[in-house]
Amino acid sequence: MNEPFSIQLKILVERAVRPVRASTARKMQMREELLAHVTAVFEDELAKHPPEQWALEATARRFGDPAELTAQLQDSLSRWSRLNSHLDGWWGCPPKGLTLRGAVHYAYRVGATTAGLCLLVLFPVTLMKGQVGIVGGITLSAVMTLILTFFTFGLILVSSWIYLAVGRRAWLAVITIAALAGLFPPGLQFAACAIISADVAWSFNLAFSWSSLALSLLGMPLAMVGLAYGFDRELRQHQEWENLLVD
Amino acid sequence: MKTIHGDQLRGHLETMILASLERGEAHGLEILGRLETSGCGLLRLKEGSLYPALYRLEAAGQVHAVWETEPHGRRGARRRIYRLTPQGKRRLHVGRAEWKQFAQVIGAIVGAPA
Repeated sequence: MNEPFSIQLKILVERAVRPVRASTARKMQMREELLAHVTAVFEDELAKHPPEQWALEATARRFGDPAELTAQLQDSLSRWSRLNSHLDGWWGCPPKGLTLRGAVHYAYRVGATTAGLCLLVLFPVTLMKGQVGIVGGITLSAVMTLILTFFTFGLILVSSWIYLAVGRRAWLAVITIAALAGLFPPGLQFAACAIISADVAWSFNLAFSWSSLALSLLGMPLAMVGLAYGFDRELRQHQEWENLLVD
Repeated sequence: MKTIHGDQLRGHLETMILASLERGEAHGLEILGRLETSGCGLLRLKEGSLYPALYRLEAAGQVHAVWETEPHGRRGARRRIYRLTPQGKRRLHVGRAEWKQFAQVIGAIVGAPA
């Protein structure tokens, strides 16, 4: 099939799917299935009545009004899918991609969620158990929120650096960033422990123990490269469709 | 005979899909083909509308879908293959009974018993 016609078929599908409020994964599933359908219809029409322009018009007629289909697709979503679309908007891949802005975008959402959870769960539990007072509870919640926010921020940012370095085949940079990434969780743990306990030596020994370091140096680089590629694949697929001019 | 369009099928499309899947698993275009064949070519459906109906059936657990693994000589986007679940078979049974009742009642009213 000619490239312009395959793009026209994608546009036909995208007109119906883009306005649907659903998770990225769900929309990608709809897109692929509907594209397979319109492609088969186009080939069928082309075999019966060339030329391609005529077949394209016939395909669009058979497919139906995209606005009507959008409403039907929206109604077909289960409650779980609707909830998932909200969660995806909150937790999904940063819309700005693996960049500093993407990392900030993602980190503030993690921070807000953690702060909310601490306020609703951790703070009341610590108060009820009587282990810490109100000030202690607030401090613990704030520290937890800060740790997770910084951890996420660092994770996304370093993942993007690794991804960019891999893309440029800058292997020395990849190794350096990956090694430094392995030091990131113990560093964060050390800072958190030092703030809570005010005992720097104990915090250092805890955070930079051999087992903790080995786990972090092995696990973090792998996790970050995996995260970078996972986000990238999702972004590429999504952006390929989102970049289509459907109006 | 006049063709039957999508608006006239409202409320019955799901049962018709389930009935077509009773003949065996199929992808969307194949389901449409079966509906057209069973309807002697008089059934005209906006083809995109089939998929929301399939998604509703899937969400209700009445059909189960898997992505096709074999390309079957095709290139490009994958299709999903739908099959009837035991719950779908039960729903089809109920749908048939409802249709019989509907046809009897309306037939009696308009003077054309089913």
